[in-house]
Amino acid sequence: MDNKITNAKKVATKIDTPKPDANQEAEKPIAKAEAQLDKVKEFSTRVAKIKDELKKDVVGQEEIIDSVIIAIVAGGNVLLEGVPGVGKTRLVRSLGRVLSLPFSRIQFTPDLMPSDVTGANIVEKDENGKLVTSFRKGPIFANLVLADEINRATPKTQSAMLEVMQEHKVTVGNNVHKIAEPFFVLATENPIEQDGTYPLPEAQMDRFVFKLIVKFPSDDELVNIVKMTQVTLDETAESVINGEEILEMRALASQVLVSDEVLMYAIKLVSGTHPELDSACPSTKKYVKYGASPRAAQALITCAKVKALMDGRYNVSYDDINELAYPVLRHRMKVNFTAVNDKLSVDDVIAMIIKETKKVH
Amino acid sequence: MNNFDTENQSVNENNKNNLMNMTEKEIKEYIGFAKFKKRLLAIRLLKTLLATLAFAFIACGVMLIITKLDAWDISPWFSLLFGFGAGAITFPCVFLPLSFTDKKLAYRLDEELSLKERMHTSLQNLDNNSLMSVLLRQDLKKATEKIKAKRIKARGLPVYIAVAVIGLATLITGLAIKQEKVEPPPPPPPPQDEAWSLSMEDELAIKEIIKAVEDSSMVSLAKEELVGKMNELLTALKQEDNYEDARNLVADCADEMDKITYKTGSSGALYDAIKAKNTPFTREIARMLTKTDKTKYEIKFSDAIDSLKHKYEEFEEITPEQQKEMKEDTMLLLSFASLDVLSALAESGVDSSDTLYGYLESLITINKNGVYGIKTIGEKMEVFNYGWASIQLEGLKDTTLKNNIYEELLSQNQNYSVGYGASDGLRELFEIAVPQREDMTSEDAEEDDDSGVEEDEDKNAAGGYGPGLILGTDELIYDKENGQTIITQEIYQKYKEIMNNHFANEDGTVPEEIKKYFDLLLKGYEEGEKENG
Repeated sequence: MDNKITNAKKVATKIDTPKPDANQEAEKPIAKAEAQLDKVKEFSTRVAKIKDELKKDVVGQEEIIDSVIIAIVAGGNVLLEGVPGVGKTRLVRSLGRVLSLPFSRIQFTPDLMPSDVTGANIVEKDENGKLVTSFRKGPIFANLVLADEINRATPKTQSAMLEVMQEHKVTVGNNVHKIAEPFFVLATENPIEQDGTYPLPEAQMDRFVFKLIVKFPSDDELVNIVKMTQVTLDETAESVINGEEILEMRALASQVLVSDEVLMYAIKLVSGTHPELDSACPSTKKYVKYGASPRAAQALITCAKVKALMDGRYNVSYDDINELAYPVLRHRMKVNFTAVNDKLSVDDVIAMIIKETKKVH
Repeated sequence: MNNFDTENQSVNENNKNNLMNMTEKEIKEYIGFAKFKKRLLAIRLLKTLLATLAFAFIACGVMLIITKLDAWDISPWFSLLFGFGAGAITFPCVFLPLSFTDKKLAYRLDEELSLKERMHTSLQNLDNNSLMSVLLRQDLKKATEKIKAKRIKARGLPVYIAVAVIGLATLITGLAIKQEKVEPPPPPPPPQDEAWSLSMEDELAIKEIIKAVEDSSMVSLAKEELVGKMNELLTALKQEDNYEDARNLVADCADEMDKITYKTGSSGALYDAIKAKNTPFTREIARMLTKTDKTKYEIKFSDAIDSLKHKYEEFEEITPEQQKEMKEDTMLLLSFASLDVLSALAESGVDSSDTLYGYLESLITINKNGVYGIKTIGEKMEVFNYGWASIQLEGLKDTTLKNNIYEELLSQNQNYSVGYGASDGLRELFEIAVPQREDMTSEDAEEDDDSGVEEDEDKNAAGGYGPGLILGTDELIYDKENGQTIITQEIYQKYKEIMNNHFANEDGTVPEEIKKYFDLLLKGYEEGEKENG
């Protein structure tokens, strides 16, 4: 009898098993939305923290820092150009610490070989004393790579960077070695010493989302630099973010809204740099030798989204595009002799193009 | 740079606001777009209204100004209607171009309110309920709720206001102008049946005609008669009160004046001139001229006829002998225009440049035998009235006398022009038809005078009938057998006419004795013709 009751109870229990709560079901998307909202809230917090930490090691250069952060969140590589001693390398090293990313520095010299960058297969003895071939990873295998004076390396070595920068993987022999995300290459260039340097090919230049000109610090900034370095030369910035969080920030930034008109404006800006096209601006036809690649348009939109989110907006504006046009376009287009003759820099020509490009309404 | 303010945001709050499930209209309301749209719609309506009123006022005002200044007789309602029409046309012409789309408004809001493309991005993502889209709406709401709708400027509104003011000013001006009164046309003259009185203008005109006659060189007797007639007329007209009666008075007076004028065509001066030359011929002529008064003379055939009429008046029929005798007597009457006269004319040697002579000459024919004839009896009589005396005078080679005669003749012409001019003037004043008159002294009369004479093949170049025929025309034919000049029937008829006209009774009837005389004469001639075959 008891078994019957027990069985009946079991059956009843089965029968009486309550259905899932409708409210609970409704709360799932709400919970998801809440989590996303938290991430939006944290975005600015994280950016602020990164900046604060970097300020500890890098005096001034706020625009450079902002641009570098934008590029990193956007997932792009940055080319820093500046005279020696303006803090390019220090910035990148501090950045690595702040982002808690494995950091490696490659000092490019004319005798640097591609395998010195990517790594090579070596023959070594294993535990059993057998000779085995193993791949020794090169310094490129890091999350944050500082390619110092990249223009000093030979084109062959420079080209070794191409695959890594674009595809985030290294192919050695028949083996493909992926590089962990997030992966950034911050390269530096010395604009002064042109002897013994190899200008970066256009293809490689196109892999950098930004080219930032690190200017000589102001007197006040220099005073602070000197004072700071008198105390210590060590970098004191601490880690405030990790790679995973950067990836989250990147994913969040990609959701920022772009209107069709702003998108079209960015496209027009890029196509306006091509003198052979009908849509070229008058200044382009006069001063530009060749224009930016389609990657420029991708870089503009991607980075503009990050910038908008950093500014606390959820949509990209025309101003975002205009401000980012300089770091995005200056290394992707080349001015002709007319511009040189008129003493116009690339930035001057970009300014003209921006002025001549009408907003889409 | 960090403009996030998500502290007060939560998904629960979002849920409460139902942001993810809003309709488009609700979203637009939520983000503040609706309030700006209402503002812009109001501006659009205001501009349209101002423009409509402006053009309506301008049209109405301009029409009022034009009609008043040009004194057009148009109702003010027309101007109002015109203005209304202008306004009706203006309204859609302004309202439609001012239209805008939501997209256009969004761009404008982003630009004017420095929203950094939030508005138009949000409008493009109305159906996008992603987190970013929702956060964008919240962000936009926060940005726009602080901004008043009035911040959207009414572009160009001052211009519309200015145009409306101009329109109002135009309308006020149009209303203020006083229209010049159009004087009504003068009343039409009263119908003629109504009481009439001689107007001052007509009286003055008649007096002017009287004065013109008085000042003319018309023969004085006739002049006095004419002036007297016209003064009597004037007196009568002043007392007349009926227009038709007045016209009749004028017509009668004018007819009387014509008669007086007609009778001036006599040979008063001729008589004196003729008498100056005391020849049997001229004496005979003078005898024929009956002096009625000092200046007026008439050539009275009646005396000659009278002397005959008793002779024939009892006759019912006339014998050939008597007819012959009548012919002779008639010839006597015509003797002045007969061969003798023509001979004298030919021998006078008058200067052919004399127009009167030329006139005479045009009446004369001459055959190769040197015999002269006169073309028409009617003109012959006129010649008889005027010309032969002149010829006689010409024969006298007395230039002074001739000139006096010519002057007299010319003055007689003038008598006609003055007399007939006065009577015609009176007629025209009272709209009475002017009678047609022949120019008795015109050479054209000779040309126009077709006495019904048909061209005769027997006529020679001079108009005569060849050798043996005395006169060149068929008016007078020389009867070779009888040795007499024969008056043809046609001549008789014309002669009869002349006699009838010349000696007609006052009532226009022909005296019976004249009539009988010629009837007998013609009858005898006809019978004579029949006898001759």
